[in-house]
Amino acid sequence: MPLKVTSREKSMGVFIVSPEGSLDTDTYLILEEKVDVLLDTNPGMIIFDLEKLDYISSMGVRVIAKAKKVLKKSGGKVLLLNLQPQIRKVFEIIKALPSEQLFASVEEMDDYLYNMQKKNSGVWE
Amino acid sequence: MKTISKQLVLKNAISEMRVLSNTVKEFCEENRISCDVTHDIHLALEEIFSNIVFYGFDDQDEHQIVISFAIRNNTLVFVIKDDGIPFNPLKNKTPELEIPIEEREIGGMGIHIVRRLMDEIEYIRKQNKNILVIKKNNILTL
Repeated sequence: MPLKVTSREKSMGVFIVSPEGSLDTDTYLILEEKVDVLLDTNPGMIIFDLEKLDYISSMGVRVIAKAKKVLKKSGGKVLLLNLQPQIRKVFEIIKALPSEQLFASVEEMDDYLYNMQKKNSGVWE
Repeated sequence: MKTISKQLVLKNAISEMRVLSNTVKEFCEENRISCDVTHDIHLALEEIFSNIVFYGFDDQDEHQIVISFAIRNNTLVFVIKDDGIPFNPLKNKTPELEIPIEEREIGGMGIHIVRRLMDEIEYIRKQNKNILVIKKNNILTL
């Protein structure tokens, strides 16, 4: 299955990246390219909305992990949203699941972001 | 006892993943293997195949990777053979799962995934070939 990636800026420095299809050894470069472009803008947060992602292999996890590594250095964050069961399973196997940054819905994530904003009012201005 | 089998010969190129993917899906569909198990087999094969393509050869030549599938007594056995450098993926130490993912090298993840998804894995080096034998039990639900 091919991979289609869309992204949008949710708010200043916060991007939602939505990969659709299969993120595997043959397609991971498509996501990596898009993510690299975003990383160059020094974002505060990248949210991977995985609702339309049907399949992931270790090369795909690597792209997401790389984004997390880069953002961590600049105090940014990566969030994961809407993992399908087979996707969650892969993250669990390699213990890459960030339990505190996983959301079941956009509403849940928005609540989290809103609360973060309240606590760290300096960060979002 | 009926044995269902299939053999696939692939080049050592990531672009061959498409062929591997389609073959796995077709085979599983033909044999009424569940979606969950199909996913696991597909992922395991991808991890192994890509490992061989990336790390298995020390030249720029085209090589063949032969994958055969067989269902025997409700167990799926697949055998992956390549003529690359001697490489036993099972000898790799378990990746350090306690370190956060972004700090780890991804290298060992593939085999770890295969180990967790499949029931048995065996490696043999024979006649200058790497041979991996992998088994998944209780393959047929119907």
